[in-house]
Amino acid sequence: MEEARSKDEARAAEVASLIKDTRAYLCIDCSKCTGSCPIGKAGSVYSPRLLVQHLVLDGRDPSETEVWRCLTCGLCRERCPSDVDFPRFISRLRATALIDGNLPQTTHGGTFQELMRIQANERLRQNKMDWLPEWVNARGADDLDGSTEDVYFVGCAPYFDVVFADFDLDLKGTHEAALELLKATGLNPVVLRDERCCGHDALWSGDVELFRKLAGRNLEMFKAAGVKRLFVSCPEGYHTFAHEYPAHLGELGFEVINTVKYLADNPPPGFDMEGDTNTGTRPKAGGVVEADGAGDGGAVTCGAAADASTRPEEVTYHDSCRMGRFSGIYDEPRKMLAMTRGVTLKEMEFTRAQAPCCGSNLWINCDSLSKKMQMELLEEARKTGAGVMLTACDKCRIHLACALMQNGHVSDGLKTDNILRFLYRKGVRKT
Amino acid sequence: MADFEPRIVAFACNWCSYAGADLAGVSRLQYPPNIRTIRVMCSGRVSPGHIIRAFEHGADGVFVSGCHINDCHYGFGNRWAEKQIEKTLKLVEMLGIEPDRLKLEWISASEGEKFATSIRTFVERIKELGRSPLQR
Repeated sequence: MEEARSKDEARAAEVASLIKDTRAYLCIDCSKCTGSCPIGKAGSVYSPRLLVQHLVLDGRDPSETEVWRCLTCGLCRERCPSDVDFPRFISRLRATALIDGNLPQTTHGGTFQELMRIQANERLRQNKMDWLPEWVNARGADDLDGSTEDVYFVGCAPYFDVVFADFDLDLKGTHEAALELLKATGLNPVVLRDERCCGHDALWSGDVELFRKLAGRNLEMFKAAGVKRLFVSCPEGYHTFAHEYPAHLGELGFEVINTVKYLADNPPPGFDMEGDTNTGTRPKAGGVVEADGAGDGGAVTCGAAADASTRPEEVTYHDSCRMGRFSGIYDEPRKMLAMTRGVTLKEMEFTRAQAPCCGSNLWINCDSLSKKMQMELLEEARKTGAGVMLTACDKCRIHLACALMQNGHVSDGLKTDNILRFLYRKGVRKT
Repeated sequence: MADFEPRIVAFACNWCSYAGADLAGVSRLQYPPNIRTIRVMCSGRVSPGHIIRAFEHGADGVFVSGCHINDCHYGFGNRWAEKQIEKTLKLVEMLGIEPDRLKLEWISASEGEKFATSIRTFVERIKELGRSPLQR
């Protein structure tokens, strides 16, 4: 009885503090969030407004499914006139749902949740770095002497490559490219063999305890290595290290740097075109792509003289949520593409802060709605006429590849690629 | 490590291997008491997540068994299992756990003897390897 009461009290305190922290009490009932929500757009009913209203006014929790349904894409927050932080609102509620024993429906048999959990084990020594370029100095947890100032964080890509081998996405290639590009700018970053999961998915799924455990192991290791600058390419990882670690564990004592941002500020040789001149072409309202002679068989290309290498390659860029709305990195990837020879950026109708969600997050709740959102995003990309859709987030690529596998015919040969992999191939590729 | 008794999680499919284990029991065949058997409806139900979870919770080895290929009660469940285990072996190795600690074996309902022998060999191999690196 006593215990039940203290549990209820703790719960009430947590709910009161999350309403305060996420500014949910400022909700003016305008329902922009509900109108923005990609789940609603895909055909289901999901109302952030009602969830906020029910909790703030009536103290009523979301239903067991509602609490897990949100994709935390942040589009509602972007458009909220009162700046209510709904993604965080729902993720904090997830923590209370976990206490009540309400668990999410995990995808892939819970494989990724377990991969995350096992990485909190202190004795874990991983072998995930056998693919690194030869020049990279990789150090194990037992081989740190406080002298490694520039560290590159790889993250879960090697594990994803195994589980999603069928998609053939070469996610490790992203990090290989990132390391080579950083090397071309004159850096020599070290990789820590025993880096742990950054804890992004744990945090947003409400498992704060696991997040803290993982973060603690990582910080311990970074401290032992003597990290001054941590380079991260994965948008989720970058956002977690740069914003969530300080918020939960205090001052980091080192700088967290997004690889694309760093490259835009310190372009490596090979990226010599005038930046910022290429703003890309936007499809007109209704999605009709403006005529562009440089496409396949276009009038501008001069017959046999123009081979594939001189013809500009048309690409489009998808702003993933953690890179864009959460970290505010919109211009840097575009600047990099503008500096790359032979590349034209064709923008989608909804870009930057208005970019659509890739339809899946945290390895929970993937269903036909997710697939619908993914196909819609691919359709948007296809409408630009570009052959490749670039993004900074490899998780987006996994989700989109999964949708393509099921509905391949709609894609029209559209490919997805990570922007770093693309830049490396176009720019400083080995000669 | 002479007194090391490994803890092993054994997944057995309902239609073949679990019956095989039963047969080993009723035939009074001896095999080491190190396994904790978990009955699943099909070997294809065992995801990498289950296996990683077993290791995380202290297993020194994981044994997965199902119907022989082309004998699956559900048609293709064991082919799926084969593919999953292949991926899991890679994941397990990346996590710094020896791949020998995970074994997939096809055991039919009539192969009580094979069940006992397989468990015996597996336990011996795990004893050679010692405690799981996550438990040392």
